[in-house]
Amino acid sequence: MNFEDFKKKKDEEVVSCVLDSIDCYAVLISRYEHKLKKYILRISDISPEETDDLLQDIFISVYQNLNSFDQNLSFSSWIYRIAHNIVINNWKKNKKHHNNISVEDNMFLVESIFNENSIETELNNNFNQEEIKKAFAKMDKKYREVLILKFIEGKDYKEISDILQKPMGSIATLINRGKKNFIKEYYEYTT
Amino acid sequence: MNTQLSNKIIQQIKKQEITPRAKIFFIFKNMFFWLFSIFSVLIGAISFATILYNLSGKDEIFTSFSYLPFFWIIILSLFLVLSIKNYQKTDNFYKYNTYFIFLIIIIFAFGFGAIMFSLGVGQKTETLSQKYLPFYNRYAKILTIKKEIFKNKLIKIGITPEILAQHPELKEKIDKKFRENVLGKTYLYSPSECLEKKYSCENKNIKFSDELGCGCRKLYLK
Repeated sequence: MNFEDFKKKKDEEVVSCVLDSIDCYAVLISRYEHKLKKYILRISDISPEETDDLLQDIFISVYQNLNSFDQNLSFSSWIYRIAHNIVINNWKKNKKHHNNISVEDNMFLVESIFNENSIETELNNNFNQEEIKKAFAKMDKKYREVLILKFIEGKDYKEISDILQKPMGSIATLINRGKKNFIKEYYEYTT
Repeated sequence: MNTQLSNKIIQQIKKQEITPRAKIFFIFKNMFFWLFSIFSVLIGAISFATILYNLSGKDEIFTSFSYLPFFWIIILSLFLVLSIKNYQKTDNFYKYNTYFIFLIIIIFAFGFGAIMFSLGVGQKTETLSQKYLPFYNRYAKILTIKKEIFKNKLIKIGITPEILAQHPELKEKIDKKFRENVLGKTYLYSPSECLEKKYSCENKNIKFSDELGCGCRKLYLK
């Protein structure tokens, strides 16, 4: 098998190949391995070892459920949904409540939120990592996860709706409330 | 292209002989939840038809909550909830607002229920339930006895226009008693009926009292 042939192929086309030969699965794994790893770290704050274990579970689950993949969805949304559900189940199983996101993402997320809300850019230079972390920790999980998907993962409303399995209207509401909630929490820590 | 993780996962899949679940499994799973959801709406509709049958032509429901067919109300609520829960397990359930879907389910259940009631399904269900469900039969009997007592003694024998003409001061008391009346615990009789009923009422474990005066009496069910 020549992996170079797959480079230009869409995920959906690769899925058909995986169903014929497990070796094609390496293409999908390599495409999503880093994206999902980062996503898990962003939403769960678990150790890298645990992340690898979770990634393995995710890819095995994806393989087992490959026939349930709905061609109306993008493969990306579908794999993120599985990843999201497995991370959530892992939280529930371990009864841990992870409230942080990885530090390097904070600035980008905060800038995106502040820019979207037309808040003066000079403020951006004064963001404090600790305060951002505290503000995030205080935020409701449902707001945090939509903000991460929207501003860090760069997903659109439809994709977020497919990943979180919530109506698009609810996603728009959650994002708006999440932004306001974050700004409020952030200012509470800074003032 | 192959990464360390992909090699590890593929090895594990091969070693454990993991295979993708068949497409038919997912189709049946989705179909099962859709069918169960629809089935639950139909059961809800039958319950609603039976509720309508139980309520139809029974004025006493306006005087007491205990005349409501609670058994069917519980069944209706249970199956409406089951319907939405099953719907939430189908593919693409999240594309519509849950409250909106729940409203649709209620409209369907009530709509079908009304049609079924007009076709006599409510009466049939009530009859069959009394015949084949022992616990429901006991419950229905108690309800019927209460309804009969209520009908005969309060609605039928109760205060007549003649009695009111004789005792105008009763009007206010009667109105009040009707408002306070719960499950036919208070019965108003004409003076002659009080005398007639006293003996038989005592025999039926009905306490007899004389609170209202002017020959009008009040009975309590024990």
